[in-house]
Amino acid sequence: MSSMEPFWHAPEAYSEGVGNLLVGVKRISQARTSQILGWAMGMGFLLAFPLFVSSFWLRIATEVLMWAGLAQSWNIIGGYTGYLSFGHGAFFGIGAYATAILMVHAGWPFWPTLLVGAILSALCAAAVGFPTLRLRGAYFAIATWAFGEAMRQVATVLEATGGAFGMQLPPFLNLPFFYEAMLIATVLTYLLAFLLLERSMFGYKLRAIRENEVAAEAAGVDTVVTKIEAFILSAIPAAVFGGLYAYLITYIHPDSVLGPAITDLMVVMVLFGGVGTLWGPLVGATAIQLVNRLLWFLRGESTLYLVYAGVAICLVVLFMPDGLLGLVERRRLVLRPKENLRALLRQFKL
Amino acid sequence: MGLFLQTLIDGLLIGGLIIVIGVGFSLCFGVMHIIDFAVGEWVMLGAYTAFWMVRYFGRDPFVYLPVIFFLYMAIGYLIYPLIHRAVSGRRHNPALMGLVFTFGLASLIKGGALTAWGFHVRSVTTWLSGESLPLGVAVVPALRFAGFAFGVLATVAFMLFLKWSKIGVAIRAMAQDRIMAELLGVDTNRVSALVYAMYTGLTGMAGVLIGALFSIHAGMGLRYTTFAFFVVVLAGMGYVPGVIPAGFLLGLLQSLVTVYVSGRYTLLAVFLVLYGTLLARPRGLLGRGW
Amino acid sequence: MLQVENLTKSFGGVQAVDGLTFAIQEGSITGLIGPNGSGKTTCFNLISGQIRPDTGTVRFAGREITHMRPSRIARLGIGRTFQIPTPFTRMTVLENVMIGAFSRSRTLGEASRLALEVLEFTGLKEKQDELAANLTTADRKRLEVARALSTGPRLLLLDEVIAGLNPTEVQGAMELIRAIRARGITVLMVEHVMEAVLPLCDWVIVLNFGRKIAEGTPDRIVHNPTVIDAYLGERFRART
Repeated sequence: MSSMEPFWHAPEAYSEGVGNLLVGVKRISQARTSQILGWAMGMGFLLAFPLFVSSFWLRIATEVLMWAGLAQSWNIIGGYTGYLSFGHGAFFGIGAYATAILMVHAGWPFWPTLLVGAILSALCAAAVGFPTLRLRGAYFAIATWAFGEAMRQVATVLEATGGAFGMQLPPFLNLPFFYEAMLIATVLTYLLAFLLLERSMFGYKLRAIRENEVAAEAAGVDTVVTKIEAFILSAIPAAVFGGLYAYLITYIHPDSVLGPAITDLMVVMVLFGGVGTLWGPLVGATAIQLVNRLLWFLRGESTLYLVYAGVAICLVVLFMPDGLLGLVERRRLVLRPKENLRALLRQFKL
Repeated sequence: MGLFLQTLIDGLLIGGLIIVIGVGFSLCFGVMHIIDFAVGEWVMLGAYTAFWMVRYFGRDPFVYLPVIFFLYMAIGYLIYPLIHRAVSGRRHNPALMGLVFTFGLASLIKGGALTAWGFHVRSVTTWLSGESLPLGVAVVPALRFAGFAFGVLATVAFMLFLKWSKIGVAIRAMAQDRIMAELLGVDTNRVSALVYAMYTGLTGMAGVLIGALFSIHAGMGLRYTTFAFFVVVLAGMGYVPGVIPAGFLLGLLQSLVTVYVSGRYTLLAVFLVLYGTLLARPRGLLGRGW
Repeated sequence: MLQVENLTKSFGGVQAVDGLTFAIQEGSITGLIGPNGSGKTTCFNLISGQIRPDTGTVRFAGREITHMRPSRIARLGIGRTFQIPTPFTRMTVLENVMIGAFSRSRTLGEASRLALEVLEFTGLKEKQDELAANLTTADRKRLEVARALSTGPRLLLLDEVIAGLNPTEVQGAMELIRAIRARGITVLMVEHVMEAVLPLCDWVIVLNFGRKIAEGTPDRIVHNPTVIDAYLGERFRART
């Protein structure tokens, strides 16, 4: 057996993240006034959104924010590191059920339940990641998928989770509150991604792992530890969003928070928007969720959801595997429809 | 003791049927390095097709077995170029892109089935349903035995095909060393498409029997995808002969848990063993995996 | 500095490396030669940890490294290049080399500075912002070496860095290798290009069928009948 350093001995991601935060603060204080003003105004607008918008649009905005954050969480392990987690919805569900169980059975207030959900999903990510991230990506995909479905089964059979009937949370009907909460959670997730992945050694290591794992390992990157760190990092935001969602929607059951549709949507959003980019998940989530809501509005079918996600995934993989942002090279949109179509036709020997 | 023996036999019989699915699935991986996430959905489609054919044309579902085999072979052959496209080209991480594609395919098929055929649970009966076969110490449902017999026959036929036919030799060559096979003149694209087609055909056929044995509903694919993953990981990814003991083991595990614990925990038990195998012996129980 | 003892490794039925034993002196440039399939790359893989031996040990600077992870071995001071250059294609040359520097820096800035220094040393400084995917083969080989150097190794394993280069590039590569040794880094190189091996190396080890069949100074090796039989051929003997 190889001598593997326990991954908790090397929390470089975190110390580096803190270091980056400090550098970031310093940079902010040095940034041009116009830039600060720009960001502040943008944030102000977003924060004040509930004041001048109907609850219909507010609801849509809340959903888009949530999916943007969820997609980014998947992006950390799937996009930046290149290890596809096909059961990521499980972390969302774990967060949702943690909040539900603690609030309903133990009478906890809302905020601390998010912390428990986060810790729980971090532990699960470590447990699932530890044996599987030593192996190739295909095993990880299968193992995470199996984990996702296993969680759904667990939620269906356990008494504490209400079984197949689900759970009812104490109602708190305050849409603006949820909007602000989702906004803050999403902004924090993107900030996390930015600090830890875009401008850090940790982020470079992940990208190196994605490009060529053997070479990364030979260059001194402990790939297993780094991958596990990334996986844990990706599980935490998903759980937080799960908890928020549970409180927002008030009623959860295994298919609504642990179903495959959640992972499907996360995957297609990142793929569509641009895998491994910072803003790809936002672009993808906005586009996909808006179209989704439109379809729902027009047809009201819920199972079409799956078809639509499936078709979208297939099309994106076939024609734009780098996503929308991947088509933009040096600020120009570079579409290659003829080339793609030709290649596809060649495949069919036409 | 009678119950235990009955359970064992039940498990082995089911295992025989699972092996058919596992063999195709494993070969798919061994030759093309593709993990088809839609494997359970092919089972579901086979089952539903049998149901609708019986609905509209009457007769026993067994009659439609060859039809379904060729139908799904054709479908698989037509779909393969798309999969190939997803996996090749200037893409980055081709193997994982193939995974994502079949994952999307699975969602698409399942969603389509749900939308088209709803949440109703169907069933299909054959002339063997309800009949029993006394087999020494235990009494075996005839249909289950037929499923097992089918499984054995199909697997043996397939293995013989791989061993003796020209295409079979090409397939085995590709599984061992793709580049060499290509250099020796094997049309790897066509052979890959054929492998995929045979796998979908076999799996569709297995679906007919599974549909007759158990209930048919749009969400049934999940169970068989899990089973396929289990079998292939325990057998060692790409190691086709290992599928046989792994399939029987799965059948036994599933049977024992259903009888002695509860039907609701079978999938969980399967997951646990799958997880344990990945932890302890990732290259399969026999260590011959990828 | 490096001690390999009784190393064996078989794949399926093929014995790739069979009871291999040799030692590398600190500060030397050693050549590892032999016909194709004689186990040279497998030997490298065994030393740098990409695969585990069936039996035998590898000791580096007195420390046993036989079963360590490749990244740990890299951080302990052994760098290696791969026969077919495998850069991080969608990253720039600078970024490629920075990755190696991470193990000995605390900030991105520090890593970047170390990487630039290595790029300067290997002559790739002007190309620092090019995407690795756009480099020529010769430059890719340089990049391989640069990336291996950025981990700050004490021993550098070079896997056929000279093969496939034109004569000017060969000279450049040889100078680079000499410069590397001048920095205090020990070099072990697998090579087929005899015109490079003989002038560069202080010591040569010859493999055939996974076994060491000869070792010695380049001069002695070239006149060794076993080696000529197995590898160099009569015409080479006639030339020297």
